Amino acid sequence: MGNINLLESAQGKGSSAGSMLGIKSIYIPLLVLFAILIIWGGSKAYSAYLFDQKNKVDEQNQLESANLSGKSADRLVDFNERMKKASEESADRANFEDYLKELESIMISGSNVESLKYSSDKIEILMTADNFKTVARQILGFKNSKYFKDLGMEKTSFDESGKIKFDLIK
Amino acid sequence: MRLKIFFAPLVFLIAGVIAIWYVWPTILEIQTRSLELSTSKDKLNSTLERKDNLETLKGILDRNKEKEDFILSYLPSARNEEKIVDGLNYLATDSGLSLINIAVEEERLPLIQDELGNTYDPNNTASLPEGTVIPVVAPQTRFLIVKANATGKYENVKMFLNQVYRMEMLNKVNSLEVKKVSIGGAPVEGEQAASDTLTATVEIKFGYLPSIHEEGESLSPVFSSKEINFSQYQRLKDFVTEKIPDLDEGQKGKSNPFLP
Repeated sequence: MGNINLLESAQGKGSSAGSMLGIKSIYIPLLVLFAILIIWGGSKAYSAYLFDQKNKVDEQNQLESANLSGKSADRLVDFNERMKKASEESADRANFEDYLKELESIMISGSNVESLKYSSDKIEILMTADNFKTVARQILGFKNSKYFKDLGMEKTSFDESGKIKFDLIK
Repeated sequence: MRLKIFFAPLVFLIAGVIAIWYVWPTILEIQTRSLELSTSKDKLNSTLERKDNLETLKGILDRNKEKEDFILSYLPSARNEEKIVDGLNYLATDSGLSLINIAVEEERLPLIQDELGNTYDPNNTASLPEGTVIPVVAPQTRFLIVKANATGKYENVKMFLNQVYRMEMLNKVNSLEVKKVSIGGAPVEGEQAASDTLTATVEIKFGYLPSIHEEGESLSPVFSSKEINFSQYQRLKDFVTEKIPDLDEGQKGKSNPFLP
């Protein structure tokens, strides 16, 4: 009956598995390192490509923009801006005829205007009236109006014809 | 054997360092550059679209030449005293006023302040030290201040003011002074006063806007549409009722300019 060397056989198998594990333990980390280096290189190259593409697109954009700023573009921009500004500036205009119409509507009999100065920040009206009652009524009329409500009287005096002169100032 | 034991962790460590130190920032860089590229492409597409719109808009403006002429007449690109004098004379005559005199002066521009807080007077650039760079500002509406004196009846003054308000030129009445016609400085009394003749002094600002140019780098939003919005024109047009006849130079040429 022949002997079977079980120990030797088991030892041989053990060393084969050990060497496989040794090889894996060297190559797998190297493979990982290599893969990471490839990813790094690739991403660097892709980043440079993107940068280059961006520069090309920017250059083309500048070229197209430069082509846009010609006579036709100026004409369109000028028209558009001019129309806009004209509309804006017109929005806050006042029709001075309205002030005169307002003045007409608040005048009472027995008083009349000698002179009128009207601007956005100052109003001066010189008036004459037959008597002080009329002066008072006229001042009240101004105070109840839209454009002249801030007027105040300073003094009265008599003119050559005996009428009372008074001025209203804002 | 010891080398084998340390080799794998060492390589993983190096791989990890490279990944964190170099690969990750590069990936972040790619993200940023992708975004930048995308933005640049959007800008280019927008420019190309605007270029396309420009042709369309030009065609629309060509077909609406009368609107362009109206706007240019309402808010001209340069001071136009001749049109102002002619216009005021026309309106005064039309409303029955006698124009006595007209004075014209340029409204002073407001001071310009730069980023450093220095202020400049754009009205007096000659007095600035040599080499001073005045900050560039977009063209603004400028005004000519016109002072007109006229005589006439109260109704004529009213009509004149209304006509000026509806004139085909951008204007704003600054102030109005109306008084009875005086002789030697004193207001006329009695019968003459009852004739209702007044002198009116009107200060009116007439606007103009220097030409505006398109800057290539900052494209105007007007090109982002294929249509021109004429609603502002229509509002102005509806408002303006006083058309002043076109001014021509009349008969020209005289052998002696000093003879009447």
